[in-house]
Amino acid sequence: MNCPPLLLRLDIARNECPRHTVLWLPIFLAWLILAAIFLALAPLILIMALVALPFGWAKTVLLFIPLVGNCICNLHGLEVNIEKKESVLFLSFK
Amino acid sequence: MSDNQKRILDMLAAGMITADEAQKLLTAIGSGESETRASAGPKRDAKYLRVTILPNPEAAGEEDVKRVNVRVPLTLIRAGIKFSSLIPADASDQVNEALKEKGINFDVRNIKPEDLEELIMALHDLEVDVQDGKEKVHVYVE
Repeated sequence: MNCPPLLLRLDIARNECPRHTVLWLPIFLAWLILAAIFLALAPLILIMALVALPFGWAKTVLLFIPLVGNCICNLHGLEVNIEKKESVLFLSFK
Repeated sequence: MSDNQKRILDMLAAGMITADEAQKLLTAIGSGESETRASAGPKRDAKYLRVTILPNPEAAGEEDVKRVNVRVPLTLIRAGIKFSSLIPADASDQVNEALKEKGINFDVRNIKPEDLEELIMALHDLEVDVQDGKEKVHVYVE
């Protein structure tokens, strides 16, 4: 499994403002918090899976968070650039 | 007829792609399948899917002109495809019905990682352009 992205680069440029804002957000802190929440909720998820078993949703409940984690780990290289008339937004996972 | 060919025809019927694009995709999938059989791995190492949305030059001069450029890692798409395996059967039926109401005749249970690989292989050799009145969408792998 890949390592999740550690930083999020956010560039914001506005036509009325000559300054170009570049933010490097430490999103690894968010992953740490999410991991802690997941660990805290793990017993509850297990109980929910047992409750959902007769309805056929147990697999969904059990595998949802690992698959979300897999998606987060594959966010490296995702870039979004949106240019509007008055502003430009650039977002990149590093 | 394979699932991919049926899917392309569905996209054509839904008006998502033009007849030319459908023909190119069908040709590419045909060659892609034969190449897949001939060689185990992909011929090029594509890493990203690029989607660009540009304003249509003919519709230039409109007030809210937007340009979008998105680079999506293929690994992220593969990871996302795995979510389809989590959809329970009854929920799949509801999704299919909702898609049908929107005019898209597509079965979400047919989404498989192998099909995605074939589509990526097909996209190596061609680019998909979708153009409506205001915008032009360009999809390709790099």
